[in-house]
Amino acid sequence: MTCPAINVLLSCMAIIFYFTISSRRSFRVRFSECFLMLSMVGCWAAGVTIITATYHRVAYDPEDHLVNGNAFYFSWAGFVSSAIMLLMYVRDCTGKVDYNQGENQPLATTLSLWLALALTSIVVAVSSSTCDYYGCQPRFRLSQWFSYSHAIYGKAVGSISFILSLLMITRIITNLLRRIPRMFDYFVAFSLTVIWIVAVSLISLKSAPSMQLGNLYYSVWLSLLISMAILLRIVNIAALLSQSFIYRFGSLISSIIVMISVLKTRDSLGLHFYDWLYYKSVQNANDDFVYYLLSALIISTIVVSLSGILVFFFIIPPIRRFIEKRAKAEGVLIVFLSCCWAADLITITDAIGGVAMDSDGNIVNGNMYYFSWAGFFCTIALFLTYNRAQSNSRSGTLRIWSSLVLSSSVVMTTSIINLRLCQQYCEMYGILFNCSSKWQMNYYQIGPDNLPETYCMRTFYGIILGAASIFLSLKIIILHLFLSQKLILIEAICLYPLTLAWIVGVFFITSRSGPGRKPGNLYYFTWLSLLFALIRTFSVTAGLFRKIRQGVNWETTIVDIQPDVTDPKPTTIGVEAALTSTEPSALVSQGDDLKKSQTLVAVEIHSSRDTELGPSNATKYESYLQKFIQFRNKDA
Amino acid sequence: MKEDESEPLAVTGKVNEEAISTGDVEALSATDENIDVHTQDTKNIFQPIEDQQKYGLEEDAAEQYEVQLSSKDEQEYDLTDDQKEKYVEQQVESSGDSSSSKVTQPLSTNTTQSKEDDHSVSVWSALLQSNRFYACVNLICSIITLCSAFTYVDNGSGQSEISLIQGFQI
Repeated sequence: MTCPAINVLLSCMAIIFYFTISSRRSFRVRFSECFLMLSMVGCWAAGVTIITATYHRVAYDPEDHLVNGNAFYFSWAGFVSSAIMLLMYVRDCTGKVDYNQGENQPLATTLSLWLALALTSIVVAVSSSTCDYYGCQPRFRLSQWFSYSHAIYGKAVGSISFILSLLMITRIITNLLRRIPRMFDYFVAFSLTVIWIVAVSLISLKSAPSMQLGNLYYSVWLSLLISMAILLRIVNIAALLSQSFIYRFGSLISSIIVMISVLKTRDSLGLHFYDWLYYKSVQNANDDFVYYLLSALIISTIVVSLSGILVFFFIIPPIRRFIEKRAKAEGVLIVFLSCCWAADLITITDAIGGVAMDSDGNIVNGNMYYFSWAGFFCTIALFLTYNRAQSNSRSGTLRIWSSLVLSSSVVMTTSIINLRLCQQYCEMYGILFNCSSKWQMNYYQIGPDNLPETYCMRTFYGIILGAASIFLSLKIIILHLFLSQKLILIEAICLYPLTLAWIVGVFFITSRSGPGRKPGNLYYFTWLSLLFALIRTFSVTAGLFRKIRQGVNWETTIVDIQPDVTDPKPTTIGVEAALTSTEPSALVSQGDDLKKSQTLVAVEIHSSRDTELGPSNATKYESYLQKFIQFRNKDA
Repeated sequence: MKEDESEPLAVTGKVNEEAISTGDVEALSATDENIDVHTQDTKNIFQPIEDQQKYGLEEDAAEQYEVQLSSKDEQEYDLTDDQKEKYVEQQVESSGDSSSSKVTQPLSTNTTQSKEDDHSVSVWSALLQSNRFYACVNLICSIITLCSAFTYVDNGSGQSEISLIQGFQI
C-alpha cells in the first residue's frame, strides 16, 4: 500500500518539475531530476513486486486467479512509464545514445528491444518458482524434475536471456565489445528465439489448461515476441513482409494455438467426439461446457483450414496471381473466416460457460483466450487491408471511431450476457432461458462481498453506455462518409460527454463491485473504449486549438457543406455565399474579407477534391467554382 | 507582381502544356494574363488532365477548369500583404514545412482529412517523446493502483475491504 501512495506523491512532484523547470543546465536541477527518477523507478519496482506476486494476494484470489486487473496492469504500466522517463533522462544527460530519433533510429530501436528483453527475462527467472501457495520446495530432487521442469527451465532460460541481453546492450552503448563480429548478433538473436519458443511450449502450452494469468505467463510470451522482433530486425527482413502476409500468418498461428489449447482441454476431460454426438455427460464438466468445448473444436478446425488456405494462396505465386484477378472471391473467404472467428470467440471467451473461462468467470486458459482475439483482429485487419486496396481510401479518424464501435459492441453484448445473473432481470430472459435453474445467481462471479443490486445496476449501465457509444460513433462515421464535412465541432459536442461517460463507466464496471472487475471481455473492452475515446478527444482538442489559433471562420467550416446545384441558397458568409449567389454583384461589397475567404475555400476545394468528396460532390464544387470564376472575370 | 516576367509562371492544363512544348511564351500569356508558370512542377501540369479523365469533363469544361485551377495561385496575389502573410502561414503550416514558402511549393493533393490525420500523428509522436506525458501517465497509474489495491487486500478469508490504516500496515 505504501508504494502506490509514495508513487502518487512522486508523480505529482515529477509533473510539477517538468511543467515548471524549463532548463536543466544547473547541477542542482539535474541532481534533483535524477533523484526523482531513481526514486520513482525504485518505488514502482517494489510496488510491482508486491502487487503482482502471486503469494501476496493483492491481485489474486486464493486459487491464484488474477481478479484485480487494475492493480496488476496499472502497476506494470507505472513501472514501465517511470523506466522510460529514467531512460530519457539518461539520454538527455549523456547525449550519446539517441534511442528515439535521429540517425540512430535503427540502433535505438534495437537497444530498446534488448532492454525490454532483459526486463521480461528477469521476470521469467523470478516468477518461475517451485513455490506455490502452500509453500516452497525446500530441496530440489531429481524425481521432482517432471513436476517442476517448467519452473527450472524458466529460471535457466530467463537467466541466460538476461545475461545475453546485458551483453548486447553493453555492445551497443559502449566500445568494449565492438571487435566481436556481427555474426555474433545473428547467433544470439537466433538462439534466444529458439529457446524462447521452447520455453513457451513448455511453460505455456504444455501447462494448459492449468496455466494461470500472471507475471510468468505474460513475460514468457513477451520474451518470445521481443526476441522474434530482434531477430527480424537484425536479419532485416521485416520490411520485406507485407501487411497482408503478416495478418494471414498471424491468423494461422493464432488458430493453431487455439486448436492446441482446445485439444489439450478436451484431453484433460477425457472427452471424445462421440460424446458430443450423444451429448454424453462427462465427469468434472457440465453439459454446457462439453457443448461449448466441442463447438470450439469444430469451429477451430474450420478456422485453421481457412487460415491455412489464405496463407497458401499468398505464398504460391501462380495461385496468388490467379486469386488477385478474383479479388471478390478472396474477400468472401476473408469475411467467412471473420465470422468463424467471431463464433469461436463466443464459445471460448463467454464469461459464463466459455471454454477459456471457469465457472466463476476467471480466465483459466490464457492462450485460448488471447489468441482467439488475436486471430479475430488479424482477420479484421486483413479485411481492412483488402478493402483499402479495393477502395483506395483510409482515414485515421474513421479507424478510431470504427474501433470504438467494435469495443462498445463487446461491452454492450457482454453486459447483456452478464445480466442473466441478475434475478430481477432474469425474467426478461425467461422466454429464452430457464431462469430458475440454468442462469441462477452466481455469487462468485458477482463477488462474495458485493451486493447483487449494485452489480446489476452497473451491468445495466454498461448496456446503456455501450448502446449510446455505438449510436454516436456510427453517427460520426456516417457524417464522415456521406457528408464529407469538417466535423470537428460536431465531433467535439458528441465526444466530450461520451468520454466523460466512459470514465464513469470504467469506474463503475472495472472497480471491485462492478461486473468487469476480473480480466475478461468486459474488463478489457471497457478500458479499450475509454482509450479510443481519449485518443480521439486529444486529437479533436488539438484540432480545435489549431483552428482557433488560425482564426478559422467556424460558420463556413461547419455550414459550407453539400451545396445543392439545382437549388442554390445563399448560406452564411464568404465564398459559399459568393458561389451560390445568383446575383454576384451584390457580393462585391464584402470586399477584402470575401477575397480572403475565397482564397481559403478555393484551396480547400482543390485539396479536398480528389478522394474525400467523390466524383459527384467534386463536380458540384467545380460547378460552383466555375460560377465564381465567371463572376470574377466579369468583375475584372 | 503579376506583370513581373521574372516571376515564375504556373502552367496548369492541356493548353499550357502545348504552349510549353512549342516554347510559345506569348501563347501562355494569351491564355490568361494572370497565369504563372512553375515549369518544374510537372504534377501541377498534368493534374487537370487526370482530373478531366477522372470526372469525364467535356472538352470546353475541361479547358475552363484548367483556368480555374490556375486561379488559386492568382488569388494569392490579389490579397493584401496581411492577408497574404496569413495565407502563406496557413499553407506552410498545413504542409508541415516551415522552411518553404507557398510560391515554390505545389499545392498539396492530400485530402483535408489526411492533413488532420498527419497532424494528429505528429502531435502524438511529439507527445510520446515528452517527459510531461509520462509523468501524467505515471500519476494516473499510481492513483488507479492505489485505489484498486486498497479494495482487494486479502484479510485471510478471501477478498475483503480493509481500512486505510490496515492498508498501510500491509
